[in-house]
Amino acid sequence: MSRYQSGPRHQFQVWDSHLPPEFYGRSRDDVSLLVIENASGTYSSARFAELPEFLKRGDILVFNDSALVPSSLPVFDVSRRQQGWLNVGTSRLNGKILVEPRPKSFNRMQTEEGNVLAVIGNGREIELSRRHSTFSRFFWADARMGEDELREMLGRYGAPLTYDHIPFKLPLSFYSTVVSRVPGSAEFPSASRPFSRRVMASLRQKGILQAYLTLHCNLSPLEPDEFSSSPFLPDEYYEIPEATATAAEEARDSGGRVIAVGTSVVRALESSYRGRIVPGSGTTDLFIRPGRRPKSVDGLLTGLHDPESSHVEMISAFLDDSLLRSAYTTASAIGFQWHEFGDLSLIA
Amino acid sequence: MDVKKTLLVTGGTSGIGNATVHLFIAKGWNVVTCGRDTGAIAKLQSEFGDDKFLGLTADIRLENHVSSILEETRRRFGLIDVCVLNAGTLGPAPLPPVLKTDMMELRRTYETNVFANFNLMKKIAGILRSPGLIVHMTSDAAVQPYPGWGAYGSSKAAMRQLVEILREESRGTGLSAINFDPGDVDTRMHALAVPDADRNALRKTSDVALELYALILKELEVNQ
Repeated sequence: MSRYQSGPRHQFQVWDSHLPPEFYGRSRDDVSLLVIENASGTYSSARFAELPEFLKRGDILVFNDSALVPSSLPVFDVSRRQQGWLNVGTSRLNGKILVEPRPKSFNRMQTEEGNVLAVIGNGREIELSRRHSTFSRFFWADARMGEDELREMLGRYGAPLTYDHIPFKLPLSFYSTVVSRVPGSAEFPSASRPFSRRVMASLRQKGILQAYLTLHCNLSPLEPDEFSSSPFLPDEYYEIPEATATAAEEARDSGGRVIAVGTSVVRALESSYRGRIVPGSGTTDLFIRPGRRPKSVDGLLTGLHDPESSHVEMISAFLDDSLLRSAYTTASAIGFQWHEFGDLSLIA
Repeated sequence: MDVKKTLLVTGGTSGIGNATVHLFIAKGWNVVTCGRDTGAIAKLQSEFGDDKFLGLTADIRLENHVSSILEETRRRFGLIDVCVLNAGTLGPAPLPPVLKTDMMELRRTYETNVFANFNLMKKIAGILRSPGLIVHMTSDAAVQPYPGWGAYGSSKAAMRQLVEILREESRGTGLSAINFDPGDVDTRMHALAVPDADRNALRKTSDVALELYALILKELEVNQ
């Protein structure tokens, strides 16, 4: 049942970078879609714009409308004359902010408790007060300023948070989506990125419902040795409007499926689930992993994630591990792109 | 000099940029510079005071930093007369042959030497006085095919050509743009590229700054 794409597109594979499709002359919705059906144990390949074909009237897509804040500050280690980046998370503890020094080499060599880094832009100093007790690459830092001032500093001098697969900082416009509305995420809620007005319209036309919630994505611990032994993940603030909770439950009652657009949506919905989705706001440190299938959602639309990430742990909660592994292996072989600007998967 | 002129030079924390800052201050200009080394910027600021010098810590690859440079420059000195696009990166070192050049490294090199400089040049044109001058620090590696200089040389060639074209497009407008090749200079970048070079055979940064100064005065005069 595979509808493999072949031809020139897959030549992009030899380019060892993972930039947005716009860089390669394609539109944002011109990405691939890996459709994994848990019930039948099968998977297939399609274009993302064909998404409506895999959903039915009465299904509801729940989006995260949190917008990215440029949370990666360029910093300079004066004593060693070296530039690095300080990724600023959304957690606060006794006035200290959660941060992660990057790149990894900078982190390893440069940073110890008490280390002071100067912000390139205004020269303000940030002290790495204390290492995080659970996630060892994170620190609690003293920015010596209030929350408003910190926000202003991120806006003026910050850049989007990136990892090694993106060779340079992209303008913030590459991170705005048709649904992003409430600034607050440190990490990019990327699953909604390929949605274009065209795709949104075709979904509406088919009678597929849409609803929104907000979850501000925090820094994510990337190394398995950091999160595998932890019962929780860094806390994240979320808000589920009454209308969204009602619409999702009504859709389900009428035989529709609740499809989360992004792992962040699963996290918010599952955190608020008490036999049904309960509206409201709060913070969650819930770590969804294999063993207990999330009850609040029936499906998940998400990017393709590294095999040893906490995201894959969540996905594995939805389906059989060997099915996921087989689907990922095939997807990789036929040129699917991983990471935040890459292709998507629909797991239902 | 009748009216005090203002220079903006990127990458003034070391090498040719640093020598340029020192010379233009000595010649009585207002000078703005930017760099990523926060310590070096603070040192320059305390050395020259706030009167005629503005040191900004900035990463020119970031759009918001470029906006900030323009805003701060304008607030302190108003319009500027000359902008020297000096900041640049060598790219991967030790210098790899073309076929061994990593795609990501190539992109990174272009990000600084082409895209950041291009963005800066576009934005700076908005705060240039007439006559005004943009100088791009180029290299003979932009013209000569030196083995190992693929990333740097090709990126410099791209920016060099943009500047040449801008020069043609701007004739008679009061805006002038030139490329300046300083030759082989005793800088950290040169040491990174050619670690075993005889430093005595290299040009001193202060001599390069003097040549640059003379060139800038001549260009401004011609465009008067």
